[in-house]
Amino acid sequence: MNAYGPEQHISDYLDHVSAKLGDIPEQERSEILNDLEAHIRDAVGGDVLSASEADVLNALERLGHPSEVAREARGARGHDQQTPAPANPYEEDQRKTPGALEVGAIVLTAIFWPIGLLLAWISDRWKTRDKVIASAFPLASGLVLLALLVAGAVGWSTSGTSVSVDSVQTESSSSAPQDPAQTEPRSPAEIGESSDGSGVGSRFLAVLGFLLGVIAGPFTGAVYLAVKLQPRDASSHSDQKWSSGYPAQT
Amino acid sequence: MNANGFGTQVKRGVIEFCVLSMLNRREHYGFELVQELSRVDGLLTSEGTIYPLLSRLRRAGLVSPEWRESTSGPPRKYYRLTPEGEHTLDDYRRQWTLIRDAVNTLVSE
Repeated sequence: MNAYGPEQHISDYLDHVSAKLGDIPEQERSEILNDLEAHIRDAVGGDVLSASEADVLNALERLGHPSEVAREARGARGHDQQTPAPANPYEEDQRKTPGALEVGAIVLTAIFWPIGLLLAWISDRWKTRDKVIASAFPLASGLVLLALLVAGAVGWSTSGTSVSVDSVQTESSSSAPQDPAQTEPRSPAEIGESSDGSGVGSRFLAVLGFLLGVIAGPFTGAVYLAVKLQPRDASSHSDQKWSSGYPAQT
Repeated sequence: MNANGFGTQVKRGVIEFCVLSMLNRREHYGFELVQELSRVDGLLTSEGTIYPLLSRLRRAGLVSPEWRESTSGPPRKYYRLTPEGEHTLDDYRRQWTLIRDAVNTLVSE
């Protein structure tokens, strides 16, 4: 074993990391250094003293440059000179969690969208563009529902006409008085003929319209709002936040 | 931001997700985590970065370390997921599905 043995490489490496972690709290720094040391021991097969220099150098190379490790440590805690982390970690959490207004907006959009969207428009936690898109879902489905209701009403009146014509014919042929009980003996085939096509069709349209208009649209709008919720003060912080974890390599 | 920066940022989040997921299956010590992560190419380029990450996860209460006697050598520090870590992992899974589908939709066009 020469004077500059594997242990020297390891302690050089750890010293280098330690120096790069100068501004990290002592407890965290020693935790990282101890973990790195245990890693190196595992990587060279358990015993540093009997490891070959090549194995040690390989293990150190795989660990990465001390700056890389330090960058992760600093990025992970938001320890960046340019963008100090919020003094209170709770503050950071608060920025991301929705307030009562936002929760109300999302929930009510799903249940009763006119009020929900009104709350969403009051809140400043959504971009205007997202508010417009979120409003479009219930509005569009509301229009579809309206269209289906109109179509259903038209269909109802036409089918009603055909039924009455049909029953007049039946009644005239059997010459029975207009007693409801007397209409029952009609064969099922006759009843089927008069109500089949338009009845099932309009019922299907009504269900579809209900699903689209009352559930799908508002629900989609609510989900969209939930997804697009912005952190508090997103406009002033977003750029810094984006790069806070990744300061230039020193 | 350059292309390298994009990769670094995405990988950083993905590695955290993977680590929580691995610890959810069973407890691991640091070197085991690194070995598993290194089985896939290009994800963990600097193995040493896992330790600041584990330190942060511990301080956030998502993982908890426990010293165990080792059959060879000194005791090892095993990490396992805390209940809060499980909760966070569930949240990450949901977000991941959402992001993956969104990106697939937008990027494939």
